[in-house]
Amino acid sequence: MTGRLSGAAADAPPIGVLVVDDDPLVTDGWSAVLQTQEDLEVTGTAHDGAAALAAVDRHPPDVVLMDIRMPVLDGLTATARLAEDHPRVRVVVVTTFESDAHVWAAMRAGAAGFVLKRAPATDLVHAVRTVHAQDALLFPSALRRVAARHTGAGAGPVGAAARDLTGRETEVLHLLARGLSNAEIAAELHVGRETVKTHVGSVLGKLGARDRTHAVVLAYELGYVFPGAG
Amino acid sequence: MSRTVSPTHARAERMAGMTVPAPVRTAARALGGPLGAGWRAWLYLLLGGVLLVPLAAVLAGLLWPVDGLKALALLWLACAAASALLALLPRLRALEASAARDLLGLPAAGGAAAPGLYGLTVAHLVAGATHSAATLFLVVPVVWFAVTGRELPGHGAGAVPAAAIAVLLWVASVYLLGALLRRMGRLMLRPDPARRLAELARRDALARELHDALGHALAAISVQAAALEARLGTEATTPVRGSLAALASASREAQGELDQALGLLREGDGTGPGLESVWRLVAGLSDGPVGGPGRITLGSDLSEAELAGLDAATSRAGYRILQEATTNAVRHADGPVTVRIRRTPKAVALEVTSGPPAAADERAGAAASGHGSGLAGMRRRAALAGGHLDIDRAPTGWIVRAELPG
Repeated sequence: MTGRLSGAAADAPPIGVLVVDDDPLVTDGWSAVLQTQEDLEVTGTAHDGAAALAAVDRHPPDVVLMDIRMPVLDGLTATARLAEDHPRVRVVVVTTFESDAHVWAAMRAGAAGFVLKRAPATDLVHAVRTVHAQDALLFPSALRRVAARHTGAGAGPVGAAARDLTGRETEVLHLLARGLSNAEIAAELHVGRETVKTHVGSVLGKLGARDRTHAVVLAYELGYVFPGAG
Repeated sequence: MSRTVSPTHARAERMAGMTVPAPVRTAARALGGPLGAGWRAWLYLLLGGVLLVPLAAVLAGLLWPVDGLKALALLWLACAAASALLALLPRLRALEASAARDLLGLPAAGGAAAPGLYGLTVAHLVAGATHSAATLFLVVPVVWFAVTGRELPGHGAGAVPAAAIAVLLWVASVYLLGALLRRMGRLMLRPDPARRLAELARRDALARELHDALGHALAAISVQAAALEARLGTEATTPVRGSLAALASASREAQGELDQALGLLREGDGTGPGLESVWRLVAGLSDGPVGGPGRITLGSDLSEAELAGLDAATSRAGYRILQEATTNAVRHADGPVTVRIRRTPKAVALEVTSGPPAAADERAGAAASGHGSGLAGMRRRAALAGGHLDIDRAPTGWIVRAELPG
């Protein structure tokens, strides 16, 4: 299973990944899976949140795979710290269960996505590449299910900001939530990619979101996009 | 035909080894409306009488030497005392829980151990035996005399008017006693808030334990299986790959099922949208690619504020059930989908009506898309909230009906 599980850009420097889990069986296993991919490079492993922060300070990776339940410093807190101190490092939260209430909290704290521990190797590799490319939402339907389980009915303080979105921006936000990339949104709305980029930029600005994942999380949170059927 | 399933109760009954026979339940459910209520009340009283027959016969034999009204009064008191003893038997109470649910429409949370079930059992046995004895020794003879044209002994007059009055009184007594026992049952089987809190805490602890122990081990297994696959690379032979794939998929499936079970266990005290969000649910489906505007109609007797004021467990379970049922309906069935929310004296009734599932969908879809587990999940949710759920699979369409305490 050497080589690539799915298409990745050639000639780009490898994506550096830090694997964080309190169970060595898990960190070793994942490192083995990730190392088989030419475009990925495991820069290290850590077994608690504090060690993970130290490792990122020493040698910032592109992506951190972060377990939630860990001793010393849990993954939730570590994710929030990373979002603040290292905004360019993308965090993928790893969870044993989709029903875990902490997953949604981690998404709000700034994680770029989440992946199930039981995910097949292809999903794990896809998760790292997707959040690194920042072009589309990771596992949009899983995100919707989690949102349906954990969002309340009320509109938060961002509710007011959301009402300032133009009709076009609202459409873009709905398409973002469905997991479409910029190119797909452009095709859907019959506009150019640059136009879509502008719309996405102003949606993020108006919602006060860090990235498209955060924008979608906020949109679910304030009831602007309804997770409904799932 | 309508099918009623409440897995927890069904299991409790099987474990106890006694249950109301299925044909009786089917007969009881086949009749709706006031006639059905009377029929069920009579079955309930009859059951109480029959349960006491063996002991009553022995007691009657013992009291034989005494005669007249004194003997009758003594026998009645002895039967009441015997009922109080009989009701101590857990197997009998399991049967009683089942009878209360199927014939009175009162779910007894906790089966044979439900608080208040002891009192209801004693009342049921005494009332049932008294009524059945009166039927056997007063109403039946009077009617018999009327039918055969004989005169009542000791009375000169014909038996026909007496029989008519006896039958009327008998019918009235069935309704009256049935209503009385139902009212008593509702008061006695009312869930105790302290018990409910303890139950929720126990569930949460169980969920945490399962998560920590099983979840962790299963995750390690699937990660290692993936790692092994990666490490072997191209060296692995086809059979080895097959075994690895089977190992990985088995552990993934187990985790998926555990995930679903934990989700249900946690819902009891977790957060999530309630029934008041049903308008948004329907609007969301109408926006979706399979729903489409105008396909779903929603009618509710309760306003958004009234729905928001419902018991939290009922509200969340109700929302999830409607979510599952409407999503299934728009995905798997053709034609319009109707959602109804009604208030009944003791419950909130939910109903989702849709066309029949698309032919290819019913079998293949049920297995492949988790449709089947969705139906089981809806029933489990209803049972956990203290209610029940029926699915009516008529050829003309499906109706999902849920009743939740409210």
